[in-house]
Amino acid sequence: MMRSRPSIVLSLLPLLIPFAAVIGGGLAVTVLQSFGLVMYAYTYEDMLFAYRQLFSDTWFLESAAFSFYVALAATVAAIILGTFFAYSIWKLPPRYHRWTVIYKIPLILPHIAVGFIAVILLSKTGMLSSIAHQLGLIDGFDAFPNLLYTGTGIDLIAAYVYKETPFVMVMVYAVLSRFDRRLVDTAEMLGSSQVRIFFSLLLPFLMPVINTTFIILFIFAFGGFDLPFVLGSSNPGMISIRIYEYFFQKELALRPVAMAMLTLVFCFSLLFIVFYLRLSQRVEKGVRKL
Amino acid sequence: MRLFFYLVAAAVVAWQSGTASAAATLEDGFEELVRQARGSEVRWFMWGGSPIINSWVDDYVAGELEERYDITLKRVPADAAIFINKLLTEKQAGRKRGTMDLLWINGENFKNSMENDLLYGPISQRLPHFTLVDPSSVAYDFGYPVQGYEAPYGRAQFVFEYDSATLSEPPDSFIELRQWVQKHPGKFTYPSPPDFTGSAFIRQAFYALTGGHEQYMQEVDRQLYERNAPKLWAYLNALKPYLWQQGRTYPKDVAALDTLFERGEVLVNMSYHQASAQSKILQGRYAPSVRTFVMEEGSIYNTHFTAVPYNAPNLAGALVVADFLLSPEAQLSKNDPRNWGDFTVLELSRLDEEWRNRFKNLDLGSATLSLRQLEKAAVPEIPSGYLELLERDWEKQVLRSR
Repeated sequence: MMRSRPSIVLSLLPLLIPFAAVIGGGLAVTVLQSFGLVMYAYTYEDMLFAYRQLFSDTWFLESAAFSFYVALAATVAAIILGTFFAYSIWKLPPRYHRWTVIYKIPLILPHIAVGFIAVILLSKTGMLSSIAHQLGLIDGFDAFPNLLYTGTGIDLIAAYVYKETPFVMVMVYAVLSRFDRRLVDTAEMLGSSQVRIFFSLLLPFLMPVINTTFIILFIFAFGGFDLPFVLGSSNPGMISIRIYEYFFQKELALRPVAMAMLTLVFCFSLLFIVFYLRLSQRVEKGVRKL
Repeated sequence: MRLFFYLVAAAVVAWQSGTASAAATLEDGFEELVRQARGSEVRWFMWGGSPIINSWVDDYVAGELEERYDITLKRVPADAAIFINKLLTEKQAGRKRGTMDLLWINGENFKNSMENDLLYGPISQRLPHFTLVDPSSVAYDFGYPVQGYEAPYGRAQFVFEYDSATLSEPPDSFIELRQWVQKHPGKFTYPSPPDFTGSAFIRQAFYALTGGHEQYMQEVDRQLYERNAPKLWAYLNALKPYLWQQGRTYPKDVAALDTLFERGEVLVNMSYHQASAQSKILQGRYAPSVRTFVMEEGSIYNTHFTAVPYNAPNLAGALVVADFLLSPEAQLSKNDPRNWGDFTVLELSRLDEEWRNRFKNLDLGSATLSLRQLEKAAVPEIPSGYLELLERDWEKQVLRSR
């Protein structure tokens, strides 16, 4: 599979050149500017000034840790829920399957729309609060619980879970539908419990797609901008919002700081993929040995 | 030999005519510019976040330009930081002919442009209507010398907004504000700097708590700043537990704060535009009982400007538009709160009797303070060096302090 095939490379060239120019060019400028190079009319004595600025204080690490926490919690929850729902649908008699299209609705909503829906429904003066007030459950909007902008990230996590669970369902269901049901029947005949069937028979079969989905969702949530822009709190603040502030809202001479953050996010995402794949391979090998 | 002479002569003539045509737009009188601009298109890049401003530009300005000068005005909505960014990229790529003719900028973006030679100029002395402006009133933009590289076109002043139906006596000094906020937990907040309005709010508190603006008008004095800034942080931290969401988070921009105010989640709002409340009443977004006030200690004003990029494809058209925006007609129309309510940059004593009266008789609406009240409270913007220090340290000393 890993044999080098020059003819394939050659035939891909028309596609690779623009890809390399756009991604590679953008990446090169980002890295160079993070070291204070090609920064228009500005010159910097210390090439590492942006990186020093990031680590001279704790805000950057706090923001990074917060983004990591939000992305991890949201992705784990979405994977568990999505896999469970996909499995439940798969177990339904086939005549019900076409009704399950309903779960795909959040899939077609853009992230920013999910953010606005959350604001309209959940804010202190939002629709739920008005309904509760009309029903006489609360005296006024001050009595409505604080659900948004709490600084704990729970609002962001909930919005990501709502948005990503259907994506997990689609991915997992596609693989499940290729699974040979007769294996399940056999296991049942031999007396396996449903739990055992799920964890020992289906889950190992699903792990490759779960791993891929996990990486896609985690990387996206870690660097995502739209939901944090609508729902995010100012402290500690998601890393993408920090980058935006340094890129657009502060003095131009500080742009290397934004570029340094982008560079670090990129490096982190690469490392994360490598470690995750290594780890999942090791776990799978362990499973096979059993 | 003779051939050589002819060649040199031809080269000299060509070179001279080349420089002459390039310099034509710089030296020619304004009439020549108007002639060149006829039938052309001017692309004006400006902030597009206010529907009322947009329709003033699209209807009034574009209509008048079409009629008077046969110029087609194209308004391109974009944040200043974004088009300055685009201009920087064009400069770095060596693009001689750009896509933008006129920009609406001020403050930090102007400084960024000047530091990178992005603007064409000086331009303001070439605009006939600039004679109606007091040049000393527009010599600095956030402490950065303007040197004629941008032409003034409007003035905005910071005001607070409240609904007189729910709040009878607004807290109109920073000391009273603190008492009021502590008595009404959760009913006040400010946009988190570096948002433009939130940043102006902390600058204003900085002036008020440290003995006025005069001491900051020179070069940035680090010692003075280090001595005075702790007073501001102490004040803002005293407010913090009583702010909206207990100060754990702040609205990310003034639009988010406006929404909270509209819905009644906070009772006091702020705007870096004295007529914004009146416009919002006219749009039906605010209750008619909304009023504005300024702090006793003073309220910051700033001037906004138009500038021409170094690679503007339609230089003549851009200058004609910049001049039209400075004309008494355009300034008066802009000053009307039904159109926008933005204050004029003209010096009224330089106008003739008739125009002076028209400005004086303008009905600013009951939500807008009178010119006299605003003028009395007006204090200039701080040099941008201080602004950067304040924004940076606010994060450390207020946002992240526990």
